[in-house]
Amino acid sequence: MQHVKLYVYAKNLDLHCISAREAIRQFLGVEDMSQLRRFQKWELDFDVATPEEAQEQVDLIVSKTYQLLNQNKEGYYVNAIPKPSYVESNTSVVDVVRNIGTDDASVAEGIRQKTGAKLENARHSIVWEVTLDSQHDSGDSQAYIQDNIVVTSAQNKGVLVNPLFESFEFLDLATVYGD
Amino acid sequence: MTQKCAIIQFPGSNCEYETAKAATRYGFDVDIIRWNVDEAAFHKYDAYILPGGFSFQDRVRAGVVSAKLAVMSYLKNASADEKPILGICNGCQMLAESGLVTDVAGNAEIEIALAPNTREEKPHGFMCDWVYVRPENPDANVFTSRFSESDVIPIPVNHGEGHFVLSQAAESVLPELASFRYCTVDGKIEETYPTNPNGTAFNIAGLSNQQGNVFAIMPHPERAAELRQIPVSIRGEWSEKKRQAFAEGQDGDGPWANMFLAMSDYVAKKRGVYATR
Repeated sequence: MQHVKLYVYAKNLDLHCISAREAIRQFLGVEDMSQLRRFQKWELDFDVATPEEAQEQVDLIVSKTYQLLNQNKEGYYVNAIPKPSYVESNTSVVDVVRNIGTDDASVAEGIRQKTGAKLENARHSIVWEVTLDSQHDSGDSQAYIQDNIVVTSAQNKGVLVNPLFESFEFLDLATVYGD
Repeated sequence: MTQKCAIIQFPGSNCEYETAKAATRYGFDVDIIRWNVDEAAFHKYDAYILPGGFSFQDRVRAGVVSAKLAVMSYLKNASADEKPILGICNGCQMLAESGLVTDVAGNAEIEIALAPNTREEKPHGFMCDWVYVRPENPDANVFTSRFSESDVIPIPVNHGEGHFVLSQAAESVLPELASFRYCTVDGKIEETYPTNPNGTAFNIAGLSNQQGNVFAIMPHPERAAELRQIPVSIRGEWSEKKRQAFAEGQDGDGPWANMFLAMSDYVAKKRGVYATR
């Protein structure tokens, strides 16, 4: 069994990300957030023996179906995102899973039927990369990001996660960027 | 003195004109104002309605970007002044994301959410249909005060995220709050599809805040405020009323006239004058 992570990004404008950034910086006044990026993450399990065979399975799916991404407007990274130069101690990466209204098993079944891929499981989430200004000095940037940017706890707090039907975790940067 | 109602238009609202027509018909002098209105101009109204549509294309989550606008802070102040506020569909989602409903703690914490539609816990996508609802505790909110618990009322639904999710705080006071619950044409509350069209908790279609002056409703009362809007194909007394009225060459008030009239009653009472209908 081979496990693959696919990070899907918008090739041109990511409107969700632009609106989230505006809401956080302009409407909530969190002006020390300097960068925000968004990826759709797919974790895929393939019934193959080697990483090379798993890559072939990804290529097969991406070329034959739009279930995971549409190559006309989206690109993807396999297993790790290239590390931007601005990433440092004030960057956090949040993985958001919706707990209601998703059916990853049906997506996987649809992909199997359409492409014949040896896909065992698929799991979807949204990954947000949040970077604060280098001058930010709250002491615990992850706690600051969680309280002010991530968790929607009140009208003037948070945008990226509604904790009533979504859950989240901070990802290890070394895993995300493949350091 | 004229009762003034503001309908707040957001980027992507698409129900503001039919909502204005309903509010006008039932006694209000209506202005459609924009989301970036200044605070002084905002506060000259007696009542506020957040209409349906897709504000900011529902990016990130339905209603969340709008909920962070300054106008929602003004609305919070209007709520504290006990002014009536109605959120319909996308407006309902904004009220949830801004904490104005249910506001049990009194500090606008997020206590309810509108999740994507489900059917038997699977995604159910966007839905557009006529359904029936029944009021619970109608006396506990401005907008439901003209209804009675024996009413079974047809109403159109048109949304992709109408699945109410309640926090423990909201759930604990639910029996005291005014609400509309999805039901059969006979008024029976069944938790399964199609009676519950979107998997919503406790069959909730609309819900009051704790204070009783704000109401968040996913279906569209403005689309059933006049008898002419009721399709003759649905079951129940209202299609028969329409058939009879049209046979006699007449029109009349629809089942949701009472929601707008109740808002008018409340504003008149606050001003110390009697309602006119």
